[in-house]
Amino acid sequence: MTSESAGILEDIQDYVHRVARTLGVDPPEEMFEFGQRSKPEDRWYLIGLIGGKEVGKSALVNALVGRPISESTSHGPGTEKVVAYVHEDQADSVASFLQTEIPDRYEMVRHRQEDLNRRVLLDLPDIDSHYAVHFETVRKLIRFILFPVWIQSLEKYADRQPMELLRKVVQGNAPENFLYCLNKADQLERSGGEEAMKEIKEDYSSRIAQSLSLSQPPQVCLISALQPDKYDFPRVKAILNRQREEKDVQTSRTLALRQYGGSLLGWAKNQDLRDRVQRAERMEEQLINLLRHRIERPISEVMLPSVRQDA
Amino acid sequence: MDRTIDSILERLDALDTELFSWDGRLGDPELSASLKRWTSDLGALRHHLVGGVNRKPILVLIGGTGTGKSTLTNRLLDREVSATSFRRTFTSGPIAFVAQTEDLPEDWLGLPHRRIDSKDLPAKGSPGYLSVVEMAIEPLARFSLVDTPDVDGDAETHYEQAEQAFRWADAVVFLVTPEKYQMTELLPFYRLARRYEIPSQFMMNKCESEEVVEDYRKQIEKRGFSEPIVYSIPRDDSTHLPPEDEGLDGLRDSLMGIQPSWDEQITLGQRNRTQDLALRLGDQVLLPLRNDLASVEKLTESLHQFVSPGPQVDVSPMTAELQERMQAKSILYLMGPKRILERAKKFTTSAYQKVTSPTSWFGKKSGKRSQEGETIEVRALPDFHSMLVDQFRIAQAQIRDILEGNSRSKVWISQAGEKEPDLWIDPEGAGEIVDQELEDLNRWLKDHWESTPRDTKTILSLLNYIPGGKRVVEWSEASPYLLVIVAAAYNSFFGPIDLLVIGGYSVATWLGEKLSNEVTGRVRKTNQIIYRRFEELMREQVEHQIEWLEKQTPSKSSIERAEDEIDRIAALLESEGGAG
Repeated sequence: MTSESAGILEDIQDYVHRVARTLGVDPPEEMFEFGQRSKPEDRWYLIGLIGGKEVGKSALVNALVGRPISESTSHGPGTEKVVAYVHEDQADSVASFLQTEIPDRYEMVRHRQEDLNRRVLLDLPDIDSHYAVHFETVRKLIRFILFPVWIQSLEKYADRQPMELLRKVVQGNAPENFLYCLNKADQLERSGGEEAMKEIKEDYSSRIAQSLSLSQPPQVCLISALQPDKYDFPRVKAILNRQREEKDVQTSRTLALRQYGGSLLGWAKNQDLRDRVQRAERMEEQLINLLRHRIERPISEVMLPSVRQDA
Repeated sequence: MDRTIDSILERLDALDTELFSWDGRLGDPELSASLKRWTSDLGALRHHLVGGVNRKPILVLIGGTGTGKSTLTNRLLDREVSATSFRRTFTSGPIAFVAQTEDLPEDWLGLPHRRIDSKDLPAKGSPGYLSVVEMAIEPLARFSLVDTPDVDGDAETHYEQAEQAFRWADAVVFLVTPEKYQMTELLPFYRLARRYEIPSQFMMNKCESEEVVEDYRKQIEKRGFSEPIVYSIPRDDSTHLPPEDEGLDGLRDSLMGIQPSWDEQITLGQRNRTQDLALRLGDQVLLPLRNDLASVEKLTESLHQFVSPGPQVDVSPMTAELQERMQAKSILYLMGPKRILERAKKFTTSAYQKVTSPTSWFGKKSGKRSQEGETIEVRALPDFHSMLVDQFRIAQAQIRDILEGNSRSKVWISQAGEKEPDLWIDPEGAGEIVDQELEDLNRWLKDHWESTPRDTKTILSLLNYIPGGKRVVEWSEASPYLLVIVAAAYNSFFGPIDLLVIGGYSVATWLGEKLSNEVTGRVRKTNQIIYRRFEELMREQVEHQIEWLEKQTPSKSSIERAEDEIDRIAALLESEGGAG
């Protein structure tokens, strides 16, 4: 993020806070933190797998990494801690970041792959878990995840709750930084074949577009975590397993910043400041009238003359 | 039937009648919707209180998207009658499968029933009505089955419809999958099923392992269901096999064995239903309405105390010319009380000489005289019309501020819009006041343009009775100034004028104020009328607002009557049932 754009965002945030203070309302939730907390020498970026129970996040992480680093569970509380897959050179810095944000709720898995030395892959707890702490963990980290991977399953892709969370997350990021995945493609192929797969992809894509008011339906990758060579998985691997260039990360940050700045300004606009000012002015006038009518006139027209008479 | 139930039904009828009169009298659309939902749920309560020994139980399927309700329906009935798809949230409305339409009470679900032709199967359902499929097949001889939309999807109306069906259900089947069995959306349903003693069955679809089924069973037990059985259907390609009587067939047998139970006495489930519904009305409708009444009272008081800015209208510029003309002819104005005194003293000596040539006075002043027949030119007036319209608008905005300052009336006013065109008086009415009064004033001006001021007229008529006075009157018609001089000159000869003019100092002052200022008087009158009429218009506006406010809630007495009924029902519930 260039210092200029950081400066602009700070100005916008300042303005929004001032508006909120003046009106006595809560300012909108802070959603944008990409790169703000990291030190200059930390050049890592976060990819986060976000999804509900049983959609297959952990299986997906394992398939991306190539070996089991996250436990895939079928029932019970599910993934409880954040699992961070990171190059050992960056591990310390990432660990201290995670310790600050979500103390003791994470696990580090180190690797030595040079060509992925700046990528940090996060497996996150379920967003629809009964355990409130799981949702809190995800919520705390979302603002730092520049590249969210939004995972759904065939069964749950039309659920209301995840869609509402997605709407919120999108406000602080740019649609271009998102990757939408639909897991368990193998089940769909077995029961419905090519046609069903195409239909579901389109259905999910149009639901996202409608919910987020996007001008174009986004790309949806239909995958099966159990078969990393089939369906759209190769494409997902190509996107996630290839390290992004510094300047591309920079571009993504700028896009996210722009979107977030826009959301903030939109919030400020919705506060109807001009209307409120006009109303305040009218109330002031009304007050002056009341004072004149109730206090000034009785004094000058009734009291004073009668005092004069007596005198 | 149990006396208690009878009495409760009576009170519910009375309540229903009272609430019916509130239709259209609620300014808050949310409150209106709340009331509508409550009234619909009242129907469900009646259904469960009235009951009937021979009534076939109506089974309702409840579950999230993709849990397989429609598939289960088809499997239970052994036919493709409920539409299924890989696309989620496919079932859009409730669908009832019955052996014959008589198996369904007419008002079941509180929605219109629509028969679905067999050629339109499989049925998808639609919000807003109950689709009914008639099929004379075996399972439906024992029970009627209702497929519902999902309780957790992104389609807005689906949850409401599922919930509505649940309220009318005689028995429920909960459907889950390994992915969804822990979802929070089902928890309130479990709780109510326990509280209302609704016979409940549990089924897990798309099973892959025994542990998951067992985990679900444990969770259900924790919710208060004693020794629950979880039936399961394996996923198509899974190797999981449910135990002997706990698969699809087991479920079917269990459902077929549901006996319609009917108790003469009011049951705990019925009591709880009644109590919950009564409390809900109090909490969600009556209490907010009480608050609304308080808001209306406060606002009415504020409106009564509202002081509008008075119109700053002074029409004297319009009469300025006439005023000058009058003053030019007014003897007392010209003389002025002090001047009368001075001149009276001065002219005793010098006036005798000067008066011999009245024409000198005439000529000297002639330039100042205005010509006859001139058209009356009214000097440029400030645009009072627009001023008043603006002031009225500002006052209306201030009234609006009062109404928007209260959170309740803010909601009502945002709903008003097109429905209440009479809420705001047209501000042009204020401008018309000015137009009318100025027209009136204009007429008066025209009438008085040529007239003589009253004071002069009075003095002239007085002079007629004084010897030589007639001559004076003739001369004064030529020039009012002459009259002044003559009057002053005559003071040494004619005591009465002397008295009138000098000694009557206070009379002169009085005359000056009362008579020669008829123009000022008329101006003041017009100003006052305009002010008064503006205030009246303002008051009318405020009355409109107050009337409108009173229509935003039902009357206080009506609300009290509803509260009474609720209290009576609560009392009935507390008493023991049975013949009293």
